[in-house]
Amino acid sequence: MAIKRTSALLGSAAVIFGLMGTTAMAQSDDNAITVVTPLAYDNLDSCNSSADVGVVVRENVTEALTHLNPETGVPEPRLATSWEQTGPTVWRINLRKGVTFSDGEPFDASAVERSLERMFNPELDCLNRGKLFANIRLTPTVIDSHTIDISVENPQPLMPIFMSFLTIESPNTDFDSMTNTPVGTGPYVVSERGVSDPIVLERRDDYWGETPAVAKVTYLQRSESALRAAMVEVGEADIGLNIAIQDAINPETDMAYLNGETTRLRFTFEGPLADIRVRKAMNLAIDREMIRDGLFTESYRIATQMFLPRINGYNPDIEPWPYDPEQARALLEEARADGVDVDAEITLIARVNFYPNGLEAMEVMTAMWQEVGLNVNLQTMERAQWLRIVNKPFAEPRDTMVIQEQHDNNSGDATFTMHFRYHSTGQQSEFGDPRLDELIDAADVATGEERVSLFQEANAYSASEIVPDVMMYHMVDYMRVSTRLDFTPDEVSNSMLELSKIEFNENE
Amino acid sequence: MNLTQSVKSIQDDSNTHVRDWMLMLWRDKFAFVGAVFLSVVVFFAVVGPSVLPDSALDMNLMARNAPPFDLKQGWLYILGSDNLGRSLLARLIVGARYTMMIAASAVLLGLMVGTVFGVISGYAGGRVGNIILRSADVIMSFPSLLLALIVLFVLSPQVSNVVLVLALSRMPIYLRTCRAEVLEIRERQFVTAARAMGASHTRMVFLHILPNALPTLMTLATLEFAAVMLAESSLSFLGLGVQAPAVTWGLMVADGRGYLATAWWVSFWPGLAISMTAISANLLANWLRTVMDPAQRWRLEGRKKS
Amino acid sequence: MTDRCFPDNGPVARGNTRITTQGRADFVGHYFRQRTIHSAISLFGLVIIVFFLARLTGNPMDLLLPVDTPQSVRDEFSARHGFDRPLIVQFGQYLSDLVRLDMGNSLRDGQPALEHVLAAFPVTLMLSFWAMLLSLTIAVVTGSIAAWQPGGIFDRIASLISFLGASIPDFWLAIVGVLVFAVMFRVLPTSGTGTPWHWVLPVSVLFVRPCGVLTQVVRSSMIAALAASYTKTARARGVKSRTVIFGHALRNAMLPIITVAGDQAAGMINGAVIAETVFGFPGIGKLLIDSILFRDFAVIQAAVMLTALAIFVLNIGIDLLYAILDPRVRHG
Repeated sequence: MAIKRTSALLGSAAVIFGLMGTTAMAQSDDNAITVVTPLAYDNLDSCNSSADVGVVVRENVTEALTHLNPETGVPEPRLATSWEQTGPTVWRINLRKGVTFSDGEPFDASAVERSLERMFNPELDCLNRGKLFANIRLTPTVIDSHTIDISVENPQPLMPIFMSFLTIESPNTDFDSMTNTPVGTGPYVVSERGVSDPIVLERRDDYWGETPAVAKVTYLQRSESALRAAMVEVGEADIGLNIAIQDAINPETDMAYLNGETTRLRFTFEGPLADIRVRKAMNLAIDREMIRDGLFTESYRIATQMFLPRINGYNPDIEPWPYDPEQARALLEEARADGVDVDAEITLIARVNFYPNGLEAMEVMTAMWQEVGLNVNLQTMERAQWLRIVNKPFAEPRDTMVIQEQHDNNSGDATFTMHFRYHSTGQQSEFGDPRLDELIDAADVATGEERVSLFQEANAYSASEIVPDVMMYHMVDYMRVSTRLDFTPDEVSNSMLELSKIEFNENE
Repeated sequence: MNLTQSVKSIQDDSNTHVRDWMLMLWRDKFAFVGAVFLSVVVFFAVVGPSVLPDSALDMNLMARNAPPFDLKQGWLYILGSDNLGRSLLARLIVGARYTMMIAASAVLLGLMVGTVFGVISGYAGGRVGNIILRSADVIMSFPSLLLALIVLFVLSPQVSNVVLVLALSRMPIYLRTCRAEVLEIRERQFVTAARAMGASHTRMVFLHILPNALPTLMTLATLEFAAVMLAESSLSFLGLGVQAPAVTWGLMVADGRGYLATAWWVSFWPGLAISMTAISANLLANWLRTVMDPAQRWRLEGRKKS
Repeated sequence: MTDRCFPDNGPVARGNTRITTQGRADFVGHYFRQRTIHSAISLFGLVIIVFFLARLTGNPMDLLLPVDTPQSVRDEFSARHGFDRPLIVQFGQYLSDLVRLDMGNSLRDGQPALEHVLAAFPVTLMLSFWAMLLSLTIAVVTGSIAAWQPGGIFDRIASLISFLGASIPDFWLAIVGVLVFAVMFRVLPTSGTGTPWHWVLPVSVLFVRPCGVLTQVVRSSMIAALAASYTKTARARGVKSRTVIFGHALRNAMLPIITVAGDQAAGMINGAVIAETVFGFPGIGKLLIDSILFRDFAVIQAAVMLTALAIFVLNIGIDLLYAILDPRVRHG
């Protein structure tokens, strides 16, 4: 009896499996693609567009007033056609005509006003507000149907750059709650999106600009890089994001691109680290080239500053530290002779899953410092604990630490980085130097050439007179793109994946 | 047979000589191999790290992910090297110590705490017994991931805390098994008889109940050893277990997971080590169970079926 | 093996042995009520513990907001979600919401936590169901055949394989499975949930360990059952061997098998997290680990509660099954 029952059960299971479906293939529907990403995009609301979800939403579903050229960093017209500063604290912006939202509402100044006010709505957890506009209140005033003024309390020469973050959503969007299906002016709309459904974008017919080639996009989430790479390889996906270095072995499909992030290790100015000779020695003891070639790849660039060359304020004259362990030891001896406790324990704080091979890099650096006689110990932390250490207010007493960090400045100007990290009032600043403060304050209110040169001076001063960190690399990511598509990632691809830039290869 | 004799005969059963045990082990070839393997592992865990040359764990970025079975760099690299160029063999040996230590400590801790509460719950019964059982249920339903995160990151990601998490999450198993054993033994004739003769509770527990529960508990502990090793490696995979610079086999497998397509040996050797140790423990547990069960022991004693 | 042999305060333990059919129904009903009450208490205890302990792990705002966010903004976001109020007050709020079946909203997307959990649960249930079905079937068949001739060739091979299955790290198996079957041989999809073929690898990864464990359990309890006196009597009466195995022995060996199977099933609900993470199945395990890493308290609590509830129900069901099947209760 039991045997018969069991075999019947097995038999019907086999039949069911056999009848239904075959191995899944990537969509061979014309012009539909699949993108596989490591992150889950939980809240697609357009007022979060400066965060991770921007990869899906920005310029695809909702568009911003301006668009930063990825190579030069210069703001270009998008939903705004022109703008000028009409007063110290007022900017007048002319909006594009003939644009409609995908739900039919016309794009006009009152829609922009509503969108801005919504971003500042205290009822909503808008990440754009949190990240960029915490202390800057933008007040919109409608002038006419396609002209709007934006006022601020203090002069903001960076307004055109800010405007590239102001993504505008339909006036029908609920003012007091977040939405997972944003409605914007972009070429794509979000198809139905349930709690655990994949994200699907479909092209709309009435977009104001050029019709993009891609008609439909499905975003899937897989946390393993090997899996993402495999999916593109077997054809289940067309683009695999954030492929790990060791999986990016196919030069035909795998593309490296600078992703806008720069890594460094920050010193806390405690114990032996209070002495500049120790800080210099720690910089000299690291063989950056060996780490780059051994752990990363040649596409990674040794960094001298915390942002990339295209950012306003980058100083091309700063030289990277040489690898000179002898000099390092000499400096340490000198410091020891002056009574500095060079043998005190220094804790290297590493964060798990920070960036590919990040932990390995920390392990190698620990070994290199131990080589020159420093007492460095590695401690790994999860993101939440690490956050408590990197942001003020710091717990007292502050330990002697070297902290692993990564920063992306994709906003075109040095102020976003310098203030936070190098100004005495900066939330992630470990020191206070009056001269540096002076330089940064002056640069903040300057414009044009003067602004650039002031920031450059601040950078140079910091790198040689203060040595607040051990600079590492401008980081690289790999994207695997199926040969079916013609697409090259650029420096902003991690914050914005413009689908309109993707073309299909004819011979596929 | 009077009561004293029956009690003695039961105690005699468990006083079998070491030589007899060795013979019984030999008769179960699988268990024998398992025991040998475990001894080798323990040997390396205890002695290994001190025998390794100082440079065994050096990083060599130029020799990252070197393939195995290539003696060009010396015997130390026979199993290949990991993603920092360190000898996998050396890491395995050092990792053996941590892995064994963590697994053994977690099992011992869980066993002791679980036994204590299991005995109390089973022996005392009633209200107290119930409360203990319910608490065990709560602990069992508490997701071990959450527990791991809480313990590891509210306290700190130290090896001792990993042991704590593993012991705590598996303790209810010992508790419930012990409790069931106690309940069963409590009703047996010799126990009721001893009670009738006025034996104190302590005497009952330590002389009569525990020795009879011991076989099942020992088998369980051996099985749990394998389970704990696997649990520890899963925690490492999810990033909630032991952190660098400590080394366990589980962490090594987790570290190598990004390289499975290009450098399979980085995860393979520690994965193999875990599996083989776990199998050995399981085979040994199986053997123990047969030895401790009077009805099955004849298979190992070379006697004919009765 | 567990306390299922001796249910608390049951008539067997107390020594009252007059069990009539009516008495058995009464006993079952009484037992059911007892266990439900006890489980409810345990569930409540769990809710309290999870609530307070989860909040010890850090402020979710730290993880939700970008690293560069100023402290003032963090404080503001915190205050809006009530994280700055004393824990007791937060707990009170949570309880009063709970009574109205409002388990709060996920911090990550603002959707109700309960919705997330209810969407994820069936996936895990399906995975576990198929894995358990496969495990039990293979285990019962293999273990029984092995028990027929202990020490024989089949037994040795089957035992070795089952031990192997019980000893392999599941994430290793998952990734190797993908690499071999999906990438190298291209016979299976790498991940996702679309067609039944997508379920082959995850179910395979999930069933290996329980199957290994269960095979051994079936084998040992079948050996015991086959050696028991009633089996010998049946064979002496000339009953054909196959009927003997599966008819009498299996029925009596069921008790410990069910116990261990129940434990494995309960463990699978929590343990499917590896398979779900690697293969991208939106089940409760994946939901839990994601929520834990993001400190999404509402979802953590909802997921833990529902999982615990499911496990409690499963345990009660198995206890009932046990009570019904236990010959000591049946033959009064």
